[in-house]
Amino acid sequence: MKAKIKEYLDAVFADAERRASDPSRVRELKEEMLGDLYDKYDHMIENGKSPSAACNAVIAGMGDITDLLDSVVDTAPRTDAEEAPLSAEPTLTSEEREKLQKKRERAALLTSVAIAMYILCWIPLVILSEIFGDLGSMVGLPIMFLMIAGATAMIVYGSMTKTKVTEAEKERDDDDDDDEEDTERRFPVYKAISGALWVLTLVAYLVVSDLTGAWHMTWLLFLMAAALDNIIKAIFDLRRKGT
Amino acid sequence: MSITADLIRGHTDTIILASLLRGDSYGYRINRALGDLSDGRYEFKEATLYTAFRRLEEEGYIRSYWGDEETGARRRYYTITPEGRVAYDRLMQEWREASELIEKLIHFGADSDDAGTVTQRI
Repeated sequence: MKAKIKEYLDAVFADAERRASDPSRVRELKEEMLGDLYDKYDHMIENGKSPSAACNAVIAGMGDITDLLDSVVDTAPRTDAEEAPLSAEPTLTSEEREKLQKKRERAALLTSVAIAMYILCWIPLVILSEIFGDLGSMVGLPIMFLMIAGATAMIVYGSMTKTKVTEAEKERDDDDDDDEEDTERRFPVYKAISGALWVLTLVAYLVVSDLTGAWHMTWLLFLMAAALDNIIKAIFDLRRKGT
Repeated sequence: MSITADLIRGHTDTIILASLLRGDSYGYRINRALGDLSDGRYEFKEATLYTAFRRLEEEGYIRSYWGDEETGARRRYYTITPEGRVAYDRLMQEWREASELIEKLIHFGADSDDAGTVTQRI
């Protein structure tokens, strides 16, 4: 049961030990407190408390030591003691930056290959069925779907890795404010407008196509909607930067 | 009892200095002494105690050193400094003045013959 007290103290002190400019001071405080807490525990046991009750009472009786830890963490290193270890590096080292850059490049490559696969996936089907007839289509169709599945997997993997990269960078670097997710996050209004725009576009597409019968052209509506979406986003961005 | 607790916590420094005037001691022993004096009704939280230790040491009123124990882990002892003794006298004086004033204030109007209530703004 006494071990539980030490475990608790280790957990509570862990962050401070890491952050401190002079961790030896933090460890000394921990040592001092541990001794006193053990004494308190022993005293409670002598007075007939059960081990678990004494353990809980000791831990509860400690109170909130966050302010105490903060003040120890900020204490300057002793001048007579040996050199204090460097505090944890908050910024990216050039090595880390290189690694992140490589990850990003790989993600981009995967996405490009995936898109190419999407575009080309119908080719095996067509060629095989031309040459081998029905047998060809039986082979070509699965191949097409395999390419589509593979491409989708690559894109999902790539985008998840990329998000990790940009999150890690965002944490350390200054905010760059150019991300698309950023605009959506800052303006829920924009998000709503954008969502509505796409639904309306789809409806318009179906209605117009049905009325005019010009299905071969009406898909252009989506391109226009995409352009409109970007214009609206730009308006929001400019508005924010202007204020 | 909560007024008592607040008052005691507000005088942590004075209590610690008083304890060290009797002799060098370490955290738990000081806390035990307080518990005994109060018949088990009051004890400092470790957070309060250690914050006070650091504050008093920073102000130069106490000094700490690691003691050699024959058995078990080493302990950090505290001792009062000459500045600490001066501070203790000053804190005692402040407490005496404060308690006298509060005595007066909480009895204010108890023997009064005033018809209406007069609001005193401090």
